[in-house]
Amino acid sequence: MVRNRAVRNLRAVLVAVLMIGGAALAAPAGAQESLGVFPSFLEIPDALRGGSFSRTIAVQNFDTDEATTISIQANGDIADWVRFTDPETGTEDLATFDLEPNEGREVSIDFTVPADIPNGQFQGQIVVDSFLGQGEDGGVGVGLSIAVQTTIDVSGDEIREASLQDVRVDPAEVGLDQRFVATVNNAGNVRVEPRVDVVISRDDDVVAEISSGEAFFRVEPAETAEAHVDWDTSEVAAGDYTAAFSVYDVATREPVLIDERVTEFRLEPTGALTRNAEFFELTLINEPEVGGEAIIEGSVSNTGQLEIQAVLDADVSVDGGASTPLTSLPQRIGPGGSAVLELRVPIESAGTYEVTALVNYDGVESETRAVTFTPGEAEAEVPEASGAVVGDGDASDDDGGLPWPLIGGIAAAVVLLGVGAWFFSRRQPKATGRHAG
Amino acid sequence: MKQGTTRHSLAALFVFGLLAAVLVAAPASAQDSADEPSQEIVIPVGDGDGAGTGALVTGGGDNAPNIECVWLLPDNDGDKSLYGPDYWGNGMQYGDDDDPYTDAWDYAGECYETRDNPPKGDQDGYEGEGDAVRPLIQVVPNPHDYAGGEQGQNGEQFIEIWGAVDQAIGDDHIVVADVYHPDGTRKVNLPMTVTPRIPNEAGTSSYICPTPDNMFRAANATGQATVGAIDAMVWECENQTKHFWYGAFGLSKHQPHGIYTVEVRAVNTETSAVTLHVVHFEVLPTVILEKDFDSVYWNIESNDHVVNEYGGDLIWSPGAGGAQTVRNVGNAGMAIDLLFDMMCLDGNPLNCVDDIKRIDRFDAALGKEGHGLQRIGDVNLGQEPIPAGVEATFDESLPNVILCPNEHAKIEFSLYTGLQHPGKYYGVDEYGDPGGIHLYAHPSFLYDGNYLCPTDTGNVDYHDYWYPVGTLTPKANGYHGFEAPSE
Repeated sequence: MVRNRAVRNLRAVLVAVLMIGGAALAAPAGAQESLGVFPSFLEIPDALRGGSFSRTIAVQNFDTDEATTISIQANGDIADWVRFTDPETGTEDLATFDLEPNEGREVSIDFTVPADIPNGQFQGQIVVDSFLGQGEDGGVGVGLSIAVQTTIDVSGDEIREASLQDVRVDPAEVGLDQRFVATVNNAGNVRVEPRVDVVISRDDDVVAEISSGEAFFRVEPAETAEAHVDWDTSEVAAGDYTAAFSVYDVATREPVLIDERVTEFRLEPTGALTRNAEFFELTLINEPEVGGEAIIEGSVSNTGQLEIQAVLDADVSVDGGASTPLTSLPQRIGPGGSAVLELRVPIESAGTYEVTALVNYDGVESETRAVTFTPGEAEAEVPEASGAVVGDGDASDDDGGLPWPLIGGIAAAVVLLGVGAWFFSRRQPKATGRHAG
Repeated sequence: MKQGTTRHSLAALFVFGLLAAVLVAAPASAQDSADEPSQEIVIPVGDGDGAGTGALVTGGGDNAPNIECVWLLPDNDGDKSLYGPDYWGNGMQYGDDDDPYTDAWDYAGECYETRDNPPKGDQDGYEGEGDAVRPLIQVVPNPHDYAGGEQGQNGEQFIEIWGAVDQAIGDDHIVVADVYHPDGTRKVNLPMTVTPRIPNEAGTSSYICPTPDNMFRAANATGQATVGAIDAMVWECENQTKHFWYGAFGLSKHQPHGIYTVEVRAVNTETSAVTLHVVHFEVLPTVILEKDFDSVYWNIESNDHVVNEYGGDLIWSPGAGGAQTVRNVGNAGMAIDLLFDMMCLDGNPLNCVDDIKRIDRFDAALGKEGHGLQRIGDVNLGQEPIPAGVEATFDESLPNVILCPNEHAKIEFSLYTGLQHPGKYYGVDEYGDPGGIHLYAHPSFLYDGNYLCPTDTGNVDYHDYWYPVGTLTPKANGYHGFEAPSE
């Protein structure tokens, strides 16, 4: 009886432990690979034969631990119509880029429809691939891809639909350029080239007439973009003014008026507006190696009232030696805006690198920040065992690692022994009146 | 006596084990909450029929409050605002930064386009949706809906409704919003909250109307409000003739993608006069493919059809090795195609010229829970094997290979060997670079002519509340992140 009760107790313990162990095995124990793209459909209903337009997709690496390299390509009818660029600059080729864990990026897909194709519907896919690396522990690697279904209806009808969405006058003070900005939307299927004309008045007297003139702005189909013109205020008095905007599309043979708008603005006296920036972070964002480069980012916020042009000025020294100056590309940051300024430091030798930097915005210098790092040595690539192993009967060909079920079993056994020992230590003598057997 | 003690011990162990199992498995299994009890707040205005006409309707006479403007914002705090405050950027904007408008703006007062919303082709290629309305914004749900999660950290995506309503001193209004699914059924009814007007201790205006940093910047950047209109609304609020109202609701990844309707009603509580203002937003379809395995293993002892070492299962267990599971954490139905790269002895492409040093025939199986496996390329079923370098597709007219949001599927890979030379075989792609197995996910949502996945049908019965962190009290008007100074 005692033995049976003990066995039943032990079975209960075993069940409990297996439940714990089983639950632990079922719980997320490491990184999962994950790739997302949105939207999953693209449709352009009014594409003009010979026309150009853009659409934006976003690619997200939802993996929590592993970075990945993304490549994008197009297939199907549209394969040769496509270029992938950075939506911010419109110039960078984004057919391939890296994504850190949980990082996403938008990609502009620039379509150029051939001029010699017939009207009709054309289909294809924008395929986003994540890096297919070497398999681990003797296995074959598996790569994830997302295909965005794309449909383009091509017609020969030119559709011109531009509208003046908004106008604004940026803050300025006497002596600085006063910028007048027009936001133009293009709902048609041909490019719009806006020209901004502004008549500036004070107390009903025309003070200046300015035009963006030869400056080239363009708004592609289904896009919204800004065009601007600047007013030299060096010989103008501070005060309240009126700006009458007239925005034209000059892509046509004769300029076509898009719209007109009137707004009031104030030109501040010299020194009235603040120019201020906060340099709040300097970060090394990669793991540099000798022979490569270190990528350092400086984060800047414009906390003033005026737009600023900011650069990161840095001094780089190795092992406390003589410093080498380095400067980032400049960026314009509007009031309330933020930007990341990037430095690329060549790593030509081993040692401890110190990068000391400040933000210079229009001649004003911020506080200094520094980052120190020690680059690693680049490793020679050694091909690892991967793929399938075709055996010749020798069991030693097994290159696999310790499988998870075995790990879980060991853990469960350890817990079982511990709990069982505790449980049996609490066994009571059998009740009196029964045969001891 | 001792038997009672033993029973208690057994019971305690059982409870302990069960509790441990639940606690350990909770993050994985409780990603998406079960149905919550309905607790709709009913405001006696409107009939919630999801008219979504896009028209401005004023009823009840001259005392109906004027709704100057309504705009929507995805309350994103993700990658685009790493260094800035909330609202910087506006998350995903499909096509371009906002939806194109064709009519002239009424600068004198209206914040954006006319209410008529002339028909315009929808932007997402999803036939039948959005062709007659124009969404103000496009949003994407987060891939997970952990209850109580902070925005941007696996909580629901929040969408904010902002409105500017004429309100003079002494006026008593309430503002309510109804949000409707793409199919017209109501998603949530929520009362909106007025932002306070605070006496201005210094400055030119009598009052100030605090709003979150960059909120107006985002409204302007997305084409929903002109600078002039914003300036005018702020001035009117500061001079006590207008109020800003806000509300927020969550968007689960289990709710349908498509065009949603937001009806905002401003009610004069003295006269019951009502103004209705209708806008729309679009939830984009997304496909997110995940796998819980890094590599696939074969150990071939004989020349035969060889299934990969661990096979597939339906248990989501990320990490190296183990059985293979894939899942879709997007918000649209998804199917998977695949492609096997050729496998060459020692990974040398030159070896693949020789038949006995090349593996180039494969098969695969895929199936989700409750539907069994679908096999392709299986010679035992009379099928032709999948050749290397050729994309293979499953039959998407069968439901077992279409993964709805959060559905798992087991996936298995097999290869065929003949008289292969012993040794190690590596995947090699068409360019001679290391290769392997490519999984291609794409949207797929029809089965037998009908939508298979609930999120593709336009209506999903799902809870529409959020839970403040640390509480289980559902709130329909869950504005998140903005604490206005008290009056």
